[in-house]
Amino acid sequence: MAAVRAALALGLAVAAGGVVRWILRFPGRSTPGLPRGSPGPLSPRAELFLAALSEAVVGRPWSEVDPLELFRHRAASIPGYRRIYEEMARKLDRQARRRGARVFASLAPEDRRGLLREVKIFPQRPRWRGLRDLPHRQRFRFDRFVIREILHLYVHTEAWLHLGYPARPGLPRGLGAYTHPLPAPTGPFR
Amino acid sequence: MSDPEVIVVGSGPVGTSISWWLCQRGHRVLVLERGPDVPYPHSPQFEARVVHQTDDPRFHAAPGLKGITTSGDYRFDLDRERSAVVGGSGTHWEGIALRMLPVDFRTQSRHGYGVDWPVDYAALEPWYGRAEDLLSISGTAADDPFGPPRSSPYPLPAFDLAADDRLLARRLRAAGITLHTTPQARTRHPRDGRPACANYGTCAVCPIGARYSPNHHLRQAAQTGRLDLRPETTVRRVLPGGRGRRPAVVVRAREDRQDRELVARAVVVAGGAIESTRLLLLSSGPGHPDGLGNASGHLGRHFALHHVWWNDLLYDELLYPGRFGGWTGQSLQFLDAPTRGRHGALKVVFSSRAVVHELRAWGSADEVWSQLERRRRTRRLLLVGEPETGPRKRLQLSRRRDCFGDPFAHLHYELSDFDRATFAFAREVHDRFVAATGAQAAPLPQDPARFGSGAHHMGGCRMSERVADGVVDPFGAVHGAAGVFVAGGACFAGPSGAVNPTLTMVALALRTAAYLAERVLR
Repeated sequence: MAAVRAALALGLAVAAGGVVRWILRFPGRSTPGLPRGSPGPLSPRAELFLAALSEAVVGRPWSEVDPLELFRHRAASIPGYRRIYEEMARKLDRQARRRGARVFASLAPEDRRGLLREVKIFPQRPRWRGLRDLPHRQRFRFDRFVIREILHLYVHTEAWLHLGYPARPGLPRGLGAYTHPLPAPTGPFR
Repeated sequence: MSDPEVIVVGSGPVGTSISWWLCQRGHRVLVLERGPDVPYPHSPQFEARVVHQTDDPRFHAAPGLKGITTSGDYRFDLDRERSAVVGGSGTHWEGIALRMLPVDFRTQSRHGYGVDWPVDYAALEPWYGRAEDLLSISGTAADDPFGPPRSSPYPLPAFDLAADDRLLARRLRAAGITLHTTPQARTRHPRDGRPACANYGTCAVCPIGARYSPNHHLRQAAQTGRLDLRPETTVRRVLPGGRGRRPAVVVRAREDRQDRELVARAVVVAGGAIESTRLLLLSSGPGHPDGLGNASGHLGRHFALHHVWWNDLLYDELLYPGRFGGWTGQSLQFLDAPTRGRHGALKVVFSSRAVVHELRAWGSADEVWSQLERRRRTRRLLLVGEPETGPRKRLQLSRRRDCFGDPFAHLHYELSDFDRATFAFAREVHDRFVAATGAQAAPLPQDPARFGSGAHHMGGCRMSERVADGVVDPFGAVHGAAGVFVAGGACFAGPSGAVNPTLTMVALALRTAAYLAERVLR
C-alpha cells in the first residue's frame, strides 16, 4: 500500500511539474506579436531615433537605402508599428539622457551600441521564455519588430554592396554584366 | 456577357491557357477564382514585398479558404505553396519551363515502375511547342545533349550562364558532367507585349512582367470581350451534365450569403492538383457517391510531389552567386541514368542563385556578417528526385473545414523504398558534384524525408484510357461525368519524371482546349 501511495505521489508531482512548466511557458513559445495601436505618421523624434538606431545596428551608415522609408510605411499602414517605434524612441532617449546626451541620436555611434547592449536589446537576441518574460515583453517586441527588421532590410539591400556586388537585387541590373567575373574586391570587406 | 459556353475553375497557368485559347477562337468563357484580383504587372506587389518588405494581405486569399492538413513525411506547409489569387501560383512561380523526356511517359514499359501514360511524347510534342510559344520561353537546345527531341526552336534565345557557372561548368566538364542553360518563362527580348528581362533579381514578384504571369493572357482574353473573370468566387460543387441537363457549378461569391448555380456547355476544373481533386471528392452525389469520376476508386490516389533535396556547398574562392535573378545552370544528364528503374529520374539544379535571402536566424550582428560573407562563396545544389506514386501517397477529405463548412483536403504522404533508392542515387550524384567542383567537404544531409516539393503537385485525378484505371480520359474528360473536365497537374498519369511540371501542364491544357473547341463546343 505504501508503495502504491509513493507511486501516486510521484505521479502527481511529475504531473504538477508539467503543469507548472506549461504555465511558465504561457502564453506560448513565440514572442509577443504587435500591440494594439492605430497607424499614422511618425513623430520627428521617432524618425530621428530610428535613423540613428538603423546605423547603430548595422555598424555603418546606410548609403543605398533609406530605412526611414520602411519605418514610415509600416507606421502608416500596419496597426501597432507606430506605437512600438514611438515607445522605443521614448525609452532609449530616456536612457540616453541618463548618460548625459540629449537624445539617443546625439550619442556617438559607439555609445549607441553600448547603450543597446546595456539595455539588452542588441546585439544578443533574447530568447522568449513565456510567462517569465512577460514583464519584459516590450523588449522582445523591440527585437522582433525593429531590430530584426533592420537586419532583414540590410541583408536584402546594403549588405550586397558591402560584400562587393556592384548592384543589389530590386534594381534593374541589366543582362550585360552577370556573365563576367567581378574584379577582386578591395577595401575592408575583402 | 451572355451565358458562358465554358466555365473554368481556377485562373492559374492552366485555367488561363484554356480560357485564352477558347476566347481567341470566339468562345465565351467564365473564369471563377476563389482569391482576389491582383495588379498586373505586379509592381504594387513588388513594392510591398521588395521595397517595404511586407506581406500585403490584399494579395492573398481571404482567411478560411486554405487549410490543407497533412500526415506522413512531408514537413512543409502546402498552403504556402499554393497561391489563391487571380493568376494563381503563376503569379510567383520560378518560371522554369522544361519538357518531359519521351521515356518519362513510358516508365512502366521501359523501366518497370510507375505507369505508361495514355499519351506519349510524340502526341504532346506539338503542344509543347505551342506552350513554349504562349509563355515566350527563352532557351536553347544547343548546349543540352540530354533534352528531348524538338520540332521547333525556342521562341527566344537562352539566358547565358553566369560567370560562376562557367567556372564550375569547366570543372564539371573535366569530370564528365554537363552543366547547361535553363529554359525559362522569362523574356530574353521583348515579345508578345512583354518587355525584356531587366534582371531585377526578384523574380518571384517580377515588377515588369518579364517573368510570365497568367495575368498577361487573362488581360488579352478580356480584350476579346468574351472573358468574364469573377474573383473571390469559390466553387463548392461540380454537377455533371446528362439526360438533357448541362453541367454546372455551385458557387459562393464573397459578397453572397447563399450559393448560386451556374451552367455551361462544359466545366473545366483547373484548380491545381490538390484543389481539383478535392473539388471532385466534394462533388459526390447520386450515381457517384464517392466523388465525381471515382467509380474506379482512383480519385485522390497517384498523387506525387517532387522530392527536392539540397545542400549548400562552400568554396574557397568568391563566386558571387545571385548576380542574375533567374535560373542559370542545371544538368539533365541524370534524368535517364543507366540505373534508372532501380531508382527514379534525377534533375540537378546548380544555378547561380543567391541564397542571401534565406538568412533568417541571426543571433547577433557579427553572425549576420559572418553568414553573409560565406554566402559569397556558397553554391546551392538542388537534387530533384522523381517520386514513386503508390497507396501511401493519397489525397482525401480532411476533418477540418473551410469557411463554408466544406472539408479541406488531407494529404497523407510517405516515402517508399523506391524513393529512398532515388535519394541514395542523389547522394552519389551530389558527391560527384562536390568532388568535381572542389567544394569543401559537405555531405548531403542523411534524412531522405528532409525534402521540399518545389511546389510541384501532381496527380490525384489520373488520366487513363479505361474507366477502371483512372479518373479522366487523355483529354481530361472526367469518366462518367458528362461535360466535366479536369486540366493541369491533377490529371498527370504519373509524375513528370524529375522535370518541372508547368510546361507539361500548359501543353496538356492547350490540347484539352483544342479538344473542347473542336469536339464539345462545335
